[in-house]
Amino acid sequence: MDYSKKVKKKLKEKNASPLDRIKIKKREKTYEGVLMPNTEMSEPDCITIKMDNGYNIGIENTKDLEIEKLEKRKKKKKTREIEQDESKPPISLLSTGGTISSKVEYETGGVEPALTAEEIVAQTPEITEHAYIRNYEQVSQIASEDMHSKVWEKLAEKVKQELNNGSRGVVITHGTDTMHYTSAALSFMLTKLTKPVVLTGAQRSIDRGSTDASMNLTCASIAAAQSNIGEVGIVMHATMNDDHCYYIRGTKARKMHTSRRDTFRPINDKPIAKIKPNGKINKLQEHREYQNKKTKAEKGFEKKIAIIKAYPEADPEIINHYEEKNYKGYVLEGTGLGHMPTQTEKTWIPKIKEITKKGKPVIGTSQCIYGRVNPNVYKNLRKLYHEAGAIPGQDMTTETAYVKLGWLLATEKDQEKIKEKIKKNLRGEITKRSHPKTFLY
Amino acid sequence: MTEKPQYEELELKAGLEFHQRLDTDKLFCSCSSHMTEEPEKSIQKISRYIRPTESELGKMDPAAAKEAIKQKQFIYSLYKDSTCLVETDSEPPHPIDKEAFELALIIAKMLNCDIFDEINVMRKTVVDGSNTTGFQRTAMIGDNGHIEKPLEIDIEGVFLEEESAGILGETKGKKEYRLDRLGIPLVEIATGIIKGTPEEIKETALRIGTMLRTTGKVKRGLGTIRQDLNLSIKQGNRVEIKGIQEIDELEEIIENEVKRQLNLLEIKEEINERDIGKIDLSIQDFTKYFEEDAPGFMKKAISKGGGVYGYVVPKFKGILGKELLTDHRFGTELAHIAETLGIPGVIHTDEDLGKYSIEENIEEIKEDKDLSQEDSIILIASEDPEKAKEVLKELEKRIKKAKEGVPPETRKSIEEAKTKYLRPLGSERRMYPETDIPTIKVNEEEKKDIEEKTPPKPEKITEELEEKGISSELSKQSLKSPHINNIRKIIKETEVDPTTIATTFTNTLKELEDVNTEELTPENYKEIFKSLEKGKFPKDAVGEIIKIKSKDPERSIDQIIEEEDLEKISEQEIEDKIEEKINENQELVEENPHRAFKVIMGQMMKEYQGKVDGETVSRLLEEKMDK
Repeated sequence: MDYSKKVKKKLKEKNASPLDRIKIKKREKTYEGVLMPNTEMSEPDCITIKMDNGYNIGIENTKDLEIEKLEKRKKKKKTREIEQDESKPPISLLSTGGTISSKVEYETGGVEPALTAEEIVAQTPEITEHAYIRNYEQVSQIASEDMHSKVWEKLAEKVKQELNNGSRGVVITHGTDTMHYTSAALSFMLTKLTKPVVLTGAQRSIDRGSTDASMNLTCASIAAAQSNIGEVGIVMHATMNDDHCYYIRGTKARKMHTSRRDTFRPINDKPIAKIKPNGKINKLQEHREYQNKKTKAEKGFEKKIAIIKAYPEADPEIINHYEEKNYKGYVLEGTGLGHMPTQTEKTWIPKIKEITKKGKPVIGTSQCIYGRVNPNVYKNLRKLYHEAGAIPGQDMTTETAYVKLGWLLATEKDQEKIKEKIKKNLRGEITKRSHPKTFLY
Repeated sequence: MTEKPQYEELELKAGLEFHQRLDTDKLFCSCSSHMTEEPEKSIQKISRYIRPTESELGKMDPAAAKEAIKQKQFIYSLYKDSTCLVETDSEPPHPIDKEAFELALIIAKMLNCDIFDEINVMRKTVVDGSNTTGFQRTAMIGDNGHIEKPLEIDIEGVFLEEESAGILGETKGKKEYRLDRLGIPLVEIATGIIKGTPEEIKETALRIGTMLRTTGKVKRGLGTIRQDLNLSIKQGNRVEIKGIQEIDELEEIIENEVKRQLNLLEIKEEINERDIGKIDLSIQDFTKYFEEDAPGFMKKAISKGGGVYGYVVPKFKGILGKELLTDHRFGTELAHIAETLGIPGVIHTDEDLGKYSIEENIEEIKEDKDLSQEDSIILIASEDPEKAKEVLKELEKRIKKAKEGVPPETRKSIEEAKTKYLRPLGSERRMYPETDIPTIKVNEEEKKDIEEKTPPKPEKITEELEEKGISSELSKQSLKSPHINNIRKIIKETEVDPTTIATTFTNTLKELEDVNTEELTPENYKEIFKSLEKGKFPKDAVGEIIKIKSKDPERSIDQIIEEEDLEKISEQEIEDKIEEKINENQELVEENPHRAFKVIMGQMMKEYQGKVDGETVSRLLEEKMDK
């Protein structure tokens, strides 16, 4: 937000702009301080100044309020950048936006994107102990909730180039909300990947001494520079403590908490490894091994995929809307073992049959989040998966099923092959065994 | 120096900062602000690091930056009712607690401050781990206030902020904190310069304390109000003293600080007189003098790869041993500085070396180095020679400052109204906006509303109570009671005898030891006294009713009276019973009326436990017996 017209006019008359030192007179009282820009958090008609004791206060504009400009804003001192150690394993750092790759303007509290690798390193100098950031690039500058498939494709291309041009691994900074969609997308788009591609982010802003960004970035850099993992993964806090991170497979990760730093958990899977900020890596399960081979990118994403959730009173008529818009595929997030309403007047079976008859793929997943979809246990399941022709998504998460379907529909023309590939494990998204320890890991 | 100094001539200037905890929920979450009695019984512990933030690191070389990060591991204890994800910096702050915010406005108004139109919550950088976020949330509420007496002083500002985490312990490289304390609302009051005697300053502080209590919503007990004191005298320097917990001690602390500064000024003169010249101390390894015969702590340092280090301070004899306060020498100041750097003791030749049995070792050094009797030696023992060097360099800085008199510094209040060195003065903490909390607009209407809710000045309150017929003693007691607002409200809103009301809150409640009356609202109390006003139960049953209501606030007073059989017995019934008793005890009444009165009174009270007022029975019995 911006200051109101009246305030702007007063400021303009005195040629005062944010960060200038001003004096405000109102009802016999004067206030002196640095003029702050208006933010969406404060009233447009209150002038905010930072007083000499450091506090911001707001003074409501009134007719009698007078402004006097005292001093023009002082030029910022540039912070020194930290040099890197080029003998360390080379990695690339790609940023997509979000707070993790930002720096803070402490005067105003505003956040700006970091523009150079040195600025990132200045924030987390530990990286230089483990890795050399060979190249740093801003691929996009968008918030996680605005992420879209064009950025996935751009990232896939960029990662391929970096890995084929001298980087041992790639770290991608990303907003946390949709990080697991992006990690799944890159998992599918990067074919023949044999190097670590690590996504990381922050749950607490980087201005604060307690930010999780630094340990996450350090562990992600260690994973990219030192690990023998050849897969896409998410590396973030494993617990509430600042002691280690997990490397979670890109197709098996999910954001499970709105604000905790250990928000990312493996679903129906164990983490691939535990990464400590001192450089130690403990393998926790099998993974594709690092090899210095060329990476390929098979890009493409069909956007017309709907995710539909089952719930009491869910109306199958909603399908008509999508069909009118010519949707190409569906992920049905069913209840329990993968149910959709079947025996009531709101049965979904006829509608699903209609879609599958057109040859469109329908994948069933479970809103339980944990566990495996089963097509046989109950009569209703058999109706859905055998009679109506939906494909059980096995132990894939809804998000991964969505990304997989979108990618398959864009990169594979043969309908039968698409169905086959949905059922087949391509990037670790489907496991054969349900290990007892993977629940609530 | 037995006589009190002339403070006016000394140009004694003080400034006070009060930190008062509020008795509401926590400031930025809905946790209880009640601290546990058993901090060792935490439900979970988490381990974190607080990093110097970006721009601070940007100025360091990588090695220093890495070092700065490695040093600090913090362990935080979590508790059942008083911590949630907000305290662990795992959830954004909730909106500011309404009750605490209103209270801060009331306090600002009470101190005649101008309340700002829009209040901004700020983040004040804290890197010592006492806040899990790495900053403290704080907001300035108003400025430009004053109080008139006992001294007329300015109030520079009133602030609302979150209390820090409480420290549980510290070991090498690790600090433990309790999170039940973090986030308790704290009102900070900063005064302008106060000129007066230590006693006047204390009285002023006491009055502010009393005023805060008249809100009825501030916490009481040790640690719930802390004062920081800024103090200077002529030719001295500003010294800040942190964490004074007892206002009553303030006078003595000021007297002691003035004394300390005067003695430091004497040392300055002494150094000038001795013509010591430039002080330039060279650090030496004295280990070889202590290899054979030395006290345990030195032996330990030597065996672990360190040794005994120090320097000769020329012409300093007598200065290190000069008493600044009783049992507090100039050497003690050095020891305190060393302590903050992790070295527990400093030995100097002005102290009794016999207690370490190192007289001979020192003599040997003096001979070897050809020292005069006027020179002093300072020694420390450390396992780490680098650490020793660092500490000795800091001590040298302090010794050099002796030439200037009083160094500006931040000190900490300790026992016996003394203080000790904490850190150099005024490392300004950076402040920037808290972007997770919208600013709070306070419009003119709300400001007026606050004015109405602001309690009158303390003397107005006692005056008001005395006008209602309450004794002066009970009025003063009422003023100190956490229930002062209830007392005033109920006197205003019921017809019950004001003394009964005041006594209930000041005495009766105290007698209900095991009862938790915290659940009772002002409305609950009003309901109780309204029933009393209507004569539904006898006055003596007030305590019993409060007790039952506290345990089960859902029950109405009528229900309690009925179900617990507490209805007031009519005077007629009492009279009838008295007559019956007089008849039964006819003989005694005639022979010894005085004793008979006591016996019958006792029987009556026993039979009608809680259902009759002693006062009424005694009045009626007297009447009957007189007949």
